[in-house]
Amino acid sequence: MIDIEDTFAEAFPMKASRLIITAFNKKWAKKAAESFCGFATSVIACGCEAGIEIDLPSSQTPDGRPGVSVLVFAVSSKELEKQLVNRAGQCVMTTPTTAIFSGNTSEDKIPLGNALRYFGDGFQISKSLGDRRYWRIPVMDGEFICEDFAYKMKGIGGGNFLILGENTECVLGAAEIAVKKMNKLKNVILPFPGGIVRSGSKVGSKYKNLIASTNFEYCPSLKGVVKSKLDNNTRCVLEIVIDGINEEDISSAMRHGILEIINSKGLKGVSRISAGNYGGKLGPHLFKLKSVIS
Amino acid sequence: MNRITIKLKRNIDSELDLRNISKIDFENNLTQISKIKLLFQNREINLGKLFNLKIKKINGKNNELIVLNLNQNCNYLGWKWKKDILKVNSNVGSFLGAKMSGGEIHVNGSVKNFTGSQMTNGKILIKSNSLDFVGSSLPGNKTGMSGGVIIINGNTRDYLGLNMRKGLIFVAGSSRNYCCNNMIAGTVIIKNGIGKFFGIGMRRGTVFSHKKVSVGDFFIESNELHPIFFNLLYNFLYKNYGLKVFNKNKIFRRFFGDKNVDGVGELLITK
Repeated sequence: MIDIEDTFAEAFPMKASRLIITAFNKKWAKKAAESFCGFATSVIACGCEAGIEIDLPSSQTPDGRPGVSVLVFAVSSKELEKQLVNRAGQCVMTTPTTAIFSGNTSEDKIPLGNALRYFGDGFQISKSLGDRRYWRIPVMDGEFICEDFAYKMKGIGGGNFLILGENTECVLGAAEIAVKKMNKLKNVILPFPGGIVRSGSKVGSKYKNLIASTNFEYCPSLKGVVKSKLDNNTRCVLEIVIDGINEEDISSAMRHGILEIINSKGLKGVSRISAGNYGGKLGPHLFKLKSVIS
Repeated sequence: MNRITIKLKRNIDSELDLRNISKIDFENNLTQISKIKLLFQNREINLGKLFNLKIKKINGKNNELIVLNLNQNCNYLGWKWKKDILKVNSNVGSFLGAKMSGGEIHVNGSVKNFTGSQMTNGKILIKSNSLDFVGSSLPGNKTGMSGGVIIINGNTRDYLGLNMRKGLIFVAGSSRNYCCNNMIAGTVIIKNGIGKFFGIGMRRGTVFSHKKVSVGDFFIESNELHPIFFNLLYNFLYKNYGLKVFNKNKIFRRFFGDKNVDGVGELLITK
């Protein structure tokens, strides 16, 4: 029996954008997307949180080639713009055969091709089709196609739940099961490696320069040293962090993940599902675990 | 929304200037439509004297103006057309959709000269042919079309895309001489042949063609290319207009010119 703690996850408003990366085949689209989403686990030090949302078949991409949809979240518009351009330029444009397009529309534009075009050194070509504009930037394997603008939208970052159990093997197994299910959902990403994070953090530190430090209440190795939230049988805690477009998406992802663990037959050693929060004082979006799974 | 149908009462054997038809206000003052002044045989005449008028409420996103029984003497239809849909069931004269900035014009026939000249946005769809100066600049001007789409399902004659700055022209048939002269930017697709003196003074822009084009020595052959942009173009035309442009995975021979003006306009010919 897995206990669902009567607590809540606390999430924050973020700026988000969706991009579609395509390539000659799925392999290279994925390579570009993985590179784009590299070092984008947490806004604490990466500038943004990014992840692959879903694989797209050729029929669903603008240029009719296999593609990948990527979601990017940042705390400010300025940072989002900076991260998008840098990552598109250094990770997507550099990958063979790729092209990049915006995956959403809104009033708020983020220069994408509009900023990257200068790499073409005057040989870039602008093309407008309908209300969309593209840049053709000459590169060594042909042309890099890049949409003129990406678009900003509202997002939510920091949805989460914690999996507590007897040992690493069972907790990691449970987390993997949940991640597998949650990765199939649209409008959400799990920004951490493999969708799972072990270094859950709290705000602040005893050291002045650090804005976040280890969440000691859930560290099994500190039990007895600090006021712990772990019982004697809990020796491992892993967290799944979810960024999504709106509350429903995050709530749905949490529900799918938690229910997948609860309903998984043969899963032993997981004792509790909890969530990380700051007492409800910081983030406006609260996801009560019991409500989420009901 | 309203559908306004106007039908010519008589045969037009000399020039009829229809530019004021674009002043029709679909939302207000519908009763004033018949008092719109047209220019016929160099004299002002009320629209109501030349056309029968019918107004009907319709369900739809756009207002519609349907013009019946025009002929090639009827010029300036859709002049500065801004929004809404204009449908013509016959041939029409010159300056169709010139300076238009939005909306759609559908012609179920052929059109004379200066179709879509200096248009900035919107769509013109012609079922048959158009003559000279499609998407070009108007007489005395230096700037051609700078946005929008012109689809011609037949052939065109000379000076297509003269001084064109932006936008898209698709010709299902062929174009004759002086095509894309002084072109500054934009995209032109001519499925069949292009005549002589192509691309003189061309600086930028892209032209797709199926057949060999006489480019003289002022265009330089570059390399074979399968531009990914062509996939976007293919999808755009197929989704919006049901057009299939060549084969989706075509490889093109690429030419750059006009080198006499240091131009980097590109001509892409199917291989």
